[in-house]
Amino acid sequence: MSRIYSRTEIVTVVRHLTEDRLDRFIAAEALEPTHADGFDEVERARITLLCELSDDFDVPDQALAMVMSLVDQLHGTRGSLLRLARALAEEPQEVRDRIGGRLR
Amino acid sequence: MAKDLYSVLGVARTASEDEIKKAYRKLAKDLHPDLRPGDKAAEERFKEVSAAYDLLRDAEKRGRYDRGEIDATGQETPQRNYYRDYAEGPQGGGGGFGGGQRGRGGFEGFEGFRGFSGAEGGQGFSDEDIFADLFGSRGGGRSQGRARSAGGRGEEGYDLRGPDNRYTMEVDFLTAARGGKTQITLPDGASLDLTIPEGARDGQTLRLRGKGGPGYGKGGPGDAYVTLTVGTNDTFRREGDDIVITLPISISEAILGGKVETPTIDGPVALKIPAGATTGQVLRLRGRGVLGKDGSKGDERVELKVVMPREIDPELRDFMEGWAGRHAYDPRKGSQ
Repeated sequence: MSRIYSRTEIVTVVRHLTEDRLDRFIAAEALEPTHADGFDEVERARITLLCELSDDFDVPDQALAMVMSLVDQLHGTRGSLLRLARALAEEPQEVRDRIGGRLR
Repeated sequence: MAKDLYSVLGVARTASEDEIKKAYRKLAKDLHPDLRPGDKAAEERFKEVSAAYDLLRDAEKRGRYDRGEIDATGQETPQRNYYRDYAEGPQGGGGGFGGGQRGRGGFEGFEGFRGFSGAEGGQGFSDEDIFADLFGSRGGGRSQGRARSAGGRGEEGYDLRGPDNRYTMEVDFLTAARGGKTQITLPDGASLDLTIPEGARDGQTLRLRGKGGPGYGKGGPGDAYVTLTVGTNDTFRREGDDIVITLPISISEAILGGKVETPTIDGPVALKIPAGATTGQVLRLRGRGVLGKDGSKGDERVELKVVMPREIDPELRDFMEGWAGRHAYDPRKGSQ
């Protein structure tokens, strides 16, 4: 995850991306770069998704930040739920059964 | 079952760019791992769908594919990482992007569990297994569908609707035109009874409610979607709701007229040929076409083709020599 793509590199590795478009994503606050010198793998995946939302779903620029915020919340919640599930998976069967009963 | 890119997207070969995009968008909404995380089957299908779309969206590649210059193989998109793959991680999700968004996605109250588990999940378990295991103590059976009400039902527990399954099937021309019953054999050996509606079109997708994968908990089964490929026929062609045929007639039938037996999709009928009929003339049998979307039937258009006798006998030649001398006509008049 340490790889950093420069502006020119990111435009070649993400299909249908242009520098102009990249700036629009940033201006729309759908993308907030965390590195001064480029974009990391997480941002590359995020930019790919932004291009899809924008091209394939015709999500307008103004709505991109909102959609991405929902996606972030969905993934964040799933991530937390997953960690909870993993933690519980390591508990003894008896504990899991009891919690399973509570969830019923 | 050949993997036809058009049927992967469930569109006709004649679909416009816009129709292709719409079909893709509809599928991607349900299948894209970032918009529908946690559904392994959907992710596999998304790969197929996006590879098909990738080729068909490009007018030049689509043309080459249509002409058979390139095929669907080798079009698999390379291994790709979805945003989800990072965003679900401990530092991802709401956390990864900008201070303002930090932590918004997760429920911070459970952060303590991170210390609990220590290891990154149980060895040899996929994340979905862990979900299924945690919530699976009541339902029996592993979930493979998508969560329609992911735990949100409280009392009712965790219900999953079964996955939708998609198939492609070839239907012969007449069955599609007339409608009928047929069976589709599934990859697992099971078979589904299918009613082909009268006037079924190439590329049309039938939905079989509840014939997809089994549900989980109180979730109902998913649906099966069958995309039809309509075969061709030696006698009949279809143009919209009309059936078009070419009907050979003899010179005497052309000159004198008369009733001629003519095939239609519902069996032969007697067609009245007017005296003096000629090649290329089109007669219309109203209502003998295919049932259209508006509920009315199209017509059968019969294009006549005058066919000479196999041998010109002396009687015919003698007659013609006499006739031509007295009644010469120029069929090319005015055509040049």
